[in-house]
Amino acid sequence: MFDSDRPCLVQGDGSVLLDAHSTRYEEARDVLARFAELVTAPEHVHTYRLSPISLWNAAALGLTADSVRADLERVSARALPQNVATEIETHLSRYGKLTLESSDGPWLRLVCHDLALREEIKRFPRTSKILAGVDPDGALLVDPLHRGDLKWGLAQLGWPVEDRAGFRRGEALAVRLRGDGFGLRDYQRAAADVFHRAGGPDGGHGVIVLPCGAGKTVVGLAVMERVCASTLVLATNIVAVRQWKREILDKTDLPSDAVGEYTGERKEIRPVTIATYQILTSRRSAIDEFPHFRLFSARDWGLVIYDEVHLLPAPVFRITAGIQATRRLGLTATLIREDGHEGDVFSLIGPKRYDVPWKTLEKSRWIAEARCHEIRVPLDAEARSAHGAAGKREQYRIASENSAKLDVVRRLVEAHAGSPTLVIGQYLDQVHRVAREIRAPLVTGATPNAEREEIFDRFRAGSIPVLVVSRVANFAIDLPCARVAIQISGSYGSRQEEAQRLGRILRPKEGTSIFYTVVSRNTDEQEFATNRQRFLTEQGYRYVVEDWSE
Amino acid sequence: MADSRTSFDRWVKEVGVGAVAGLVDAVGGRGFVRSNEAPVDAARRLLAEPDAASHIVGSLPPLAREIFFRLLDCGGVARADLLIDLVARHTSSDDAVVTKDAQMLAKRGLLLFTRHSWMWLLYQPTYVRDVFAGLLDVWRREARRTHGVIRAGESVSLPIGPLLAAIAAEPLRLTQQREVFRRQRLKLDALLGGDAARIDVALRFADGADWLVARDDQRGVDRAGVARYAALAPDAKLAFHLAVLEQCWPGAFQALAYLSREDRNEWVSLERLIVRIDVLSRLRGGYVSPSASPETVSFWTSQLVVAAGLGLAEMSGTDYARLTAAFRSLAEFEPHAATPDARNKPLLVQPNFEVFAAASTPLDVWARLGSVARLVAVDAVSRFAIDATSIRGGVANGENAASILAFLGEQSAHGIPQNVEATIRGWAEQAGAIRFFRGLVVRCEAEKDAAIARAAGGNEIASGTFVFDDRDEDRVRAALAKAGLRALPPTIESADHGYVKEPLKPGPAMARFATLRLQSETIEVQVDDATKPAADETSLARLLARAFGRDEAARLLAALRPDEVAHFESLILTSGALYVGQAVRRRVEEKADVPRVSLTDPAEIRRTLERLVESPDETEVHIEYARNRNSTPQSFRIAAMDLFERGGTTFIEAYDLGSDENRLFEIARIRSLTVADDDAS
Repeated sequence: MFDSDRPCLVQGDGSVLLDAHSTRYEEARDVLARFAELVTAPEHVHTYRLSPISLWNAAALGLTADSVRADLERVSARALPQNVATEIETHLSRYGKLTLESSDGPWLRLVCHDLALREEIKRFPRTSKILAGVDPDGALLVDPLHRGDLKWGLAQLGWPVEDRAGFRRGEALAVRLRGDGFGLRDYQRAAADVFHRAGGPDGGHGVIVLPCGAGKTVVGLAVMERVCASTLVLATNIVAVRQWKREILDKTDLPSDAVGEYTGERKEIRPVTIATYQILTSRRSAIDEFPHFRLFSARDWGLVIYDEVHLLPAPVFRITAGIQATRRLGLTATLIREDGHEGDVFSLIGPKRYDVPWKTLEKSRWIAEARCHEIRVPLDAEARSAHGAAGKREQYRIASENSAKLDVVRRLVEAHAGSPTLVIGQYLDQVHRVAREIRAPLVTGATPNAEREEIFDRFRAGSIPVLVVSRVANFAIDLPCARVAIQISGSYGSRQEEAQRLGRILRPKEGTSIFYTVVSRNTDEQEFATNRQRFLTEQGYRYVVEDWSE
Repeated sequence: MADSRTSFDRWVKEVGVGAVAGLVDAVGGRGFVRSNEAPVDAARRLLAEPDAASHIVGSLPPLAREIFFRLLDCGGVARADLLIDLVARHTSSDDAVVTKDAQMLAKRGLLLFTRHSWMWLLYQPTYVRDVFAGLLDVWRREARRTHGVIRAGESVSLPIGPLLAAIAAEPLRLTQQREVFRRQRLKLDALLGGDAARIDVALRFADGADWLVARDDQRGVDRAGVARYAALAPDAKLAFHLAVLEQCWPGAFQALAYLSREDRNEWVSLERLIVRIDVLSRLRGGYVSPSASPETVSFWTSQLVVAAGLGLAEMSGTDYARLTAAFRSLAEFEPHAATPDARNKPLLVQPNFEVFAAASTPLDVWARLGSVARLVAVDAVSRFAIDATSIRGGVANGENAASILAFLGEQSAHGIPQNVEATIRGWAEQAGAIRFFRGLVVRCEAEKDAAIARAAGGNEIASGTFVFDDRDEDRVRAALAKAGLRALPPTIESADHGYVKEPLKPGPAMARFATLRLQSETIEVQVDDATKPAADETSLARLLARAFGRDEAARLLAALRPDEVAHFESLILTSGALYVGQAVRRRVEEKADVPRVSLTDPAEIRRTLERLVESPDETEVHIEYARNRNSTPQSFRIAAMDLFERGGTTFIEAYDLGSDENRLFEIARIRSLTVADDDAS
């Protein structure tokens, strides 16, 4: 199927297959990473996708159609399909045709030398109403307030804008990473440098893609050090906010009074302020304004960091369109959004600037090597009968709460005695029962924050060997010592949840981490687990299925 | 790439006034044509104005404009003309809105505009026109059917589902096969470049049966092929002809076998429709040239067989057997029968359940793969996916876990990943756990009687127990009677509620008690005349009446919604009466405990929250909560934790799933409460 010397196959639909067993695999992977999105990376053949966004990203990195074609031909076992070659040319040539520049006057200039395209932009409803006119050189003039709307609209029309209009300096803030034992890893430094581009107008906005456990927060801190300006950090929830705060205080020389928390509990606005998406998008009713959006203008921010940018809610996109003169950094483990708004991230936050696959970091031992096991246990006769008579949702719950899982958990905990272990569940009464039976502390949404932090600290210190957590632990809980995760129930087929839970055990450590998923055999839970399993195998993890019927 | 502007200028220069006039006409004048001015005059005038042509193009609908520039960019000057024609036909009066909607269809990747087909179609403008026109026709008819007359500029929004169904149901209209066929004949002439002998063969194709007879005489080919050919639909014949023309004999015969299916024109599956159009159009479009290399021919042949494999995957057992037999018999016509190369196996099974199939995959492997995996994309390396449904389909067609794994293991370059193997085994075993057979069962008490039943053709499934085809009941009864055997009344019957037990006999004297164990509780059920069902009762009503008595049954039924009744009815046969009775009672009790309807009465809201706090379950509820007395309520999804009073006000402390925080809500400001259904995310 594959040529041993040329490990890639370019398909007519723009997908590129890469033979992971080829001796030229690494070379081809590095080639593809520059202009194609990695879609799946299972054991044998990895699939990349050439899309408008990936090609625009490539163009933003300076690649040309000729170089992309030449690269593909160098590694491809078969000639490039004609339609794909045309697509590459089309999309790459579009980047740079529209350049947004600053001017001496009050307007920004959208420079476009293609007359037909210029006419199209003038007539396109989303852009025509925000254009202020045409300058003597033929450039379209736009109010800086509409900088984001213009880019957003044009991306939807299929035309990316190269934004070279520069950024506001923002309120100065000296930030230095601590030197005492804390060193940036190579890829973290590279990511920060590529983003910042020495402060030039072509840097300062974009997205860094790093896997869970690779230290995205630290990249954020490194960028803060380079930008040296007041910073607004947006995170997914309050636990993530606390984690950011802890990292900032731990790894930079900023004093604690320089770091504020803007959440449902506290409303501090400091030179570095960390807020949740939730508080930003909360409002009295669907027709009211978002009162907390005033946070964006509360200080002269020089940098906004969007943590887990793939979860960025729609209203935050809208406000982001209005702060295009501020440097913007997106951090994420995946550019794939469930809502398909990857284009919005590209146009409003910026192009992808840096990306390292999970397996590469695993090989370099920056994240732990992980093994995944799915353990299938049968329902007992009584549960099976109840399962048979129940409706779909009830069936899922019966399967999830299968009492036979308790014995599996007990045996796994025994087998991994001495290894810090997390037991993760979806249903409160189930996690309560498991915690009681295995005599382990439990953290749920109901656990007060102070108590949670205390339990986590003890787990990190090793005084708690096994910790049971509900779904509150899905996101942004930093427990780097965890080596074993046992998932006893989950949110149906949520891929995101699976990745986040696996991420809990991926912090670098000696030896292999193990991720167990315990499911009820021949139930919908097994089917959903198969979907999640598919996702992890697509990230390159090997999955072993075990049947514990006996 | 040529710059769009340069191409555009070149196009204007080449096509001149006529085409610009067409363009003006296509955009419906829209300010470019003065009153009483003919389009041609307008074009002449506009051409003298700088950028006028750009303005006109700027007025095209976005999709048309996009196609227009792409065609220009790839040097398709003449094709741009065709686009004008297309747009002109579909942008006048009430069709304007249809064109707009067609853009949306194209953007959504519908039908032919999927993946690689999209660009490919751009290079086949004739085909674009046919298919696009067909799409628009369907869309317009559907819009008119549901909305009546659509006026110019009126916006019509249609659900995508019925449209897909409409399109899928009318493939022949889409392909406009007659017109295509006529053009194809002309194309054949051109393709064959005046080669008299080949033109002669091509013309004979039009009367294919004659041609096949001729072949038959010369080579002794299976005569059944003639009949199969005669039964083909015109477009199927066309595919066959073209495959033969390309000297692609295996492809031709595979196409013949596939396309001569009885339901050849019933393309109810969109996926199949796409594949079919894709394959046929590649053949029609002369994509495989007469001088194509064997590899190219083999590639396109394989695509045809993918379509066949896809067909196999959706067939019932009989069809499958018939077609696989056809494939086997056709194998003898294959001049270079491919054999799997142990070093270069054609398939590759990935841990994420993907299967890649190389273009060189042998025909029988294609066909068999199609029966156990779902086709995702046809390409140089085609992509299949294995899932529970595809495996169940394979099992229904006679496969089992061992045979599927043996097949994949043998053909796959890296074997089968352990997780895939275990999962396939589970799916196949689940799919094959039970089978239903319809038949007439005859049980013989004595061996001498069994011998008679055996002689009557019964299939002995256990000692003395025979199964006959139930359609043969009269014949079997007659045969047994003739041998002196008289059938006793049956000793096993099915009770009303589907629970197999000894026959119930009505009347107080015959009343008896049955003890049914319903999980943890034991209920005595008295079966007598008092619980005999009325004729119009549903089976669920009868079941509940038997289990709990009429009054209780009525109470339970009253608490169920019609869809819930239907749900439990459907469960009676599969899950048995015992558990259905139990499940109904539990469902009703749940309802009584925590109402599933929206509550707005503050007292009820409070009572429900009290129950939720006491409940060990973490039941989630939606609440509409007004932060202030007069503000509009806001939605929250919460899990209640604690209820308490402070300063004379009652609060509920709850885990707010939206913010992942514990929050306090004042009970009096909760405007409504609904128990949340679990989201199947």
